[in-house]
Amino acid sequence: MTTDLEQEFVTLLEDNQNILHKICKLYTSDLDAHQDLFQEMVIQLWKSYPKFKGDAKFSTWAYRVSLNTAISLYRGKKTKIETVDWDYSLSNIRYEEYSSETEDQLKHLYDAVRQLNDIDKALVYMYLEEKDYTEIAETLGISEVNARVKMNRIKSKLKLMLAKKGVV
Amino acid sequence: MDELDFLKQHWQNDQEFPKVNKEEIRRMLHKSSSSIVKWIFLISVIELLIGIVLNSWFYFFDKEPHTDHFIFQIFSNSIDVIAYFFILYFIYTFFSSYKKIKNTKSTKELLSDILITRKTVHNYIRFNIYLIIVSVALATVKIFFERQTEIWSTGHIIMFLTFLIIVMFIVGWVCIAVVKLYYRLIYIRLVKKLDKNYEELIKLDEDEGREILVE
Repeated sequence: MTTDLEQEFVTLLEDNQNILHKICKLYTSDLDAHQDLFQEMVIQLWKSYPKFKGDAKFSTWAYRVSLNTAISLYRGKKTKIETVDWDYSLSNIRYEEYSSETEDQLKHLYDAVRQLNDIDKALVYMYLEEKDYTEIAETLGISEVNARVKMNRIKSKLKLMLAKKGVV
Repeated sequence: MDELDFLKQHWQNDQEFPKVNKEEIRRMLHKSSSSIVKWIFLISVIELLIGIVLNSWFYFFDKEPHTDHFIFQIFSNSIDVIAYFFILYFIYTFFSSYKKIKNTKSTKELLSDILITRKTVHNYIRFNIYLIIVSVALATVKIFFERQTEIWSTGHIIMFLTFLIIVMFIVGWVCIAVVKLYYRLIYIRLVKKLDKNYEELIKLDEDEGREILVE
């Protein structure tokens, strides 16, 4: 019953699952929400997989579909203002190797990013993944100039949020 | 340094996520059962709402004075109450199946949840058909007793009764056929999708068992 298409998809997804986990990390703050979003992305990817022709890399296609899923799922949802609990099962185990100051700063940064709206989070994700502005603009359906302006605003927003907490 | 660039430095090393294996991914693909059951639940709620709206519409806009016999009023009201009670029970069952299927982690549980939902849908359809039969029967009795049969001759009564029963039988039969068609179009189609999912899940379970044996 497991078709070739399914086999192929599952293998590709298993190899590329970190793309999805990383997006989940920016959009969710606890393990349950992380797993829910992950599952939703998998279902959306599977649904649109027949349309994936292979003219783009699987990873590129997967991150675009997953980002869109996250955006539409979290659209209009008010982001929590209070600091979210830090789920250690999700946090990078490597943090322990950093100085506690770095660890603290990273935690606050993630918290701040999670308070951004759905589109801003997508921009941050693509920025962290070192996508160029042409690709960011194309993925979000906005102009390149607009993407740059948005990115700068996000940076100032984050600076402001962290300054309020006295982190920076 | 820019905050985001600071984050970026650590971002690339951030690869330690709980690993999801092939079986888990495959199971996620078949989780669509939960969305099918969600539809079953939503449609049953919509049906209830339409029923309530129609009932209250008839109640408020029925200008004719109620000449029904006291017993008939008690009868039809208690049937209404029982019907709503059952419908609420079915909606609750659909909802809890949806919740269960959504949160199920193991294939075995998912299979049994699908079977339970399937059974509930069939019971729900059967219940609606029984409801039609009872309503038509009640209407038949009501129509008969509304006539001034005391002044009729026995032959007249027998002829009228035969005619009435035939007409009501046809009416009931048509109603049931329409309802069956409706359920075939909506519920049975959803149940078929559930069945397909069920078969694939069984296959998945067998494959898994085989893999464990091989290991």
